[in-house]
Amino acid sequence: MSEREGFLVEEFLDAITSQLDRTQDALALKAVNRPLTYAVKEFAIDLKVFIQLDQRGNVRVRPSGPNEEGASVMQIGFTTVTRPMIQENTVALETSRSPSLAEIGLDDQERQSLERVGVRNVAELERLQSSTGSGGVSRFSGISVDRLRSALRQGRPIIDQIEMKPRSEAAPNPSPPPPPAGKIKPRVRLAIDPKRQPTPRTRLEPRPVSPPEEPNRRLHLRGRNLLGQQGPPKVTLGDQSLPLVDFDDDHIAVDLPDQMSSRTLSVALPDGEIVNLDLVRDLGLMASPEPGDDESPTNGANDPWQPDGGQR
Amino acid sequence: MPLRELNTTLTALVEAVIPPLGSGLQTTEAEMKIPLEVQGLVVEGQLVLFAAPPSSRWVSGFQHQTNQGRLQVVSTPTIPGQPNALGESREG
Repeated sequence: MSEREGFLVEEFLDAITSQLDRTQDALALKAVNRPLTYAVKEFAIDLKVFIQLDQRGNVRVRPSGPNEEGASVMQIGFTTVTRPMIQENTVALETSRSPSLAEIGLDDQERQSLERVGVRNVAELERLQSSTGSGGVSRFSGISVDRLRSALRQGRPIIDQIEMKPRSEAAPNPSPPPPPAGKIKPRVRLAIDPKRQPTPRTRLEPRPVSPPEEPNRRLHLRGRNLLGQQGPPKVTLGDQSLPLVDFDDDHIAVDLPDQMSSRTLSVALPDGEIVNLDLVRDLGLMASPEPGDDESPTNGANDPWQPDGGQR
Repeated sequence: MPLRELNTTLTALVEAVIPPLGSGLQTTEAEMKIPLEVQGLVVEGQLVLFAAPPSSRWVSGFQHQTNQGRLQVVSTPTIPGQPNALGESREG
């Protein structure tokens, strides 16, 4: 980009807008010490420019230099707008969270074709596709349907890494209360050992599950495109909704409760897909034992299901 | 043309219509039509617009051409809750 090559129209408008913003900021600073300040209500300029097209078909403007005749006159006007006017006339910020066309692997020419039909990111592409169908978008843009579908697949939210860390690594948390004296509970893996005989149980409720070494664990789910227009994914553990403690486009984090009523963590992604994670199978979490658990050397003495009825 | 960013020129133009403190005068609205020599330069990868009134009244072969600019300025009360000239009220 140089003055000789000219500038893209949007770059030119951005540059003027930036200058006007700085003017308003400078004038607003005077309001600190004065009862009355001034603001630029409107600014217009008739610019003598040369309009040219570059090799990609972009319109570029070049301000006329000294002694150059035959320049066009471009009239640009700026006015102040209120917040509701901005909201009515601009794209919602949520839409801008969506991956760009470059991020889903479309080349310059394909991007330009889609931008001509008002599509600048995946969210806008999906919206257009839902109203006109893949064939319609393909006809308007000249991009094959397969190519569009392939690109859209790239833009879908995905979780590809799961990691569990103590909460203390992220932020200090109060330590859990110590267990009552004399009731230290060993932890038992929920994973089924094929060599072991199944132990009959009287309780049918799901067993509480807790992290292996210590409670207060934070689950980090990493991936991409995790922030949709409706916000971040929603995480539930059984029927319990888990609030996100941190989220971004490529990462969400939830704190696992100390006592968990389910081993299945459900993540509702922004595109509606639900990913189910088995905390025991996928993360090797362990279960808190119930009173009378068979692997407890002390509690097993009173277990009526022991071979000797618990009395040796 | 001395390089002055557009915002510096606009701020100076607005300052020019503000009556001095203690004069008892108050400008409520002003409109200015001014010739501007405009130049765009790339500074640290960003396009920056420089604009200033022409340094000379004479047309020459080495000075930039002038572009007509129009600036409308309004006074804005800074008292919280009172609507300003743009119809917006400032939060207290």
